[in-house]
Amino acid sequence: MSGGDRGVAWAFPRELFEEKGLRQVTVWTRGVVLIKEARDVVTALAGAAAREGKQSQAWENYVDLPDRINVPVKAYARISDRPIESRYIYENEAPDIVVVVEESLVKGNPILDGLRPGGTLVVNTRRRPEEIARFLTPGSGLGLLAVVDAAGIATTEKTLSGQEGASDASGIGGGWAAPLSGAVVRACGLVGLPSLEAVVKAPEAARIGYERTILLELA
Amino acid sequence: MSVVNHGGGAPAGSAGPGGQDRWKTPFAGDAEAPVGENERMITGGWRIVRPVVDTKACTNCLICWIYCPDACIVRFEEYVDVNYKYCKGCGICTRVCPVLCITDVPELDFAD
Ligand code: SF4
Ligand code: SF4
Repeated sequence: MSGGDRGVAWAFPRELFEEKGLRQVTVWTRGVVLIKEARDVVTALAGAAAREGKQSQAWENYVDLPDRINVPVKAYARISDRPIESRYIYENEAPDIVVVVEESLVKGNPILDGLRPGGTLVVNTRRRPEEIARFLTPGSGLGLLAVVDAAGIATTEKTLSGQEGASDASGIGGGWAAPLSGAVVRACGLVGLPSLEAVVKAPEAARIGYERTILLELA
Repeated sequence: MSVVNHGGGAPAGSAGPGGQDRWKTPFAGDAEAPVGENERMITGGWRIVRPVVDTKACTNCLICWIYCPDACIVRFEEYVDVNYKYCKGCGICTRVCPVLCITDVPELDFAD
């Protein structure tokens, strides 16, 4: 559909979210106590992409809010080389990359639902990827599993600053989010490491996360 | 269920359409607590750690049973255990047990 007659300069892509070059990131975390880390991962990745001249969006799942302590909640990013035309859907129904901020979320939560074939999963854990893989639904089409001990590299930031669209006075990527985003960069090169380092509060943690990421290719 | 009239409610003799009991004020101490599970709000997936009771060391003092905000402590004859379908892993039982027989174990240490 073209919005031409009303002077709208965009058109719906024929297939929503089938746009070339568009990559969608879904981050799972736990309400209240770890929500800042998920928000920081998507904000940092989107910010790093913007520095590279890419188009990007970052937001939280509004249905999940207001969250409660420990409740599984999600945050999202969309990054593309060209203008992102798919819109009006506020959840990533077919993510390319899934990030898990707290390891036990891999159990009993539909984290891989809708994952694009060959997609990537990044988990903050001290465990080996093989151990995490045991908890994942078979047949999800997962192509690559990456683990990083983000909690061993940084401490969590617990703050209500930045909640629900408010501006965040505490800064982006000072906690687990920096090494976790570093692991995302290592696993799938969504943005360049220097761009990520430029936007997070703890660039060294981002680099260490990048370096210490362990990758497991899955069939 | 026996409902005792403690003085509230409608004046004596004014039985309503639902019969006499309908007009009596129930007293919480007399009313049976509902026992049930909400299948649409299973909260076991909220857990990061799982409280594990050493049932041999448990003295059955029921302090954890009183404290658990989600009524997840299940009473047995000589010990208590946890209803993991709903336990959110908040850690309160672990903190209040006077004999320290509850341990918080990372959820991924368990296959189930
Ligand atoms: S961890 Fe919390 S919810 Fe679970 S049994 Fe203990 S007190 Fe109850
Ligand atoms: S508080 Fe400890 S000893 Fe007392 S009933 Fe609970 S588990 Fe048993």
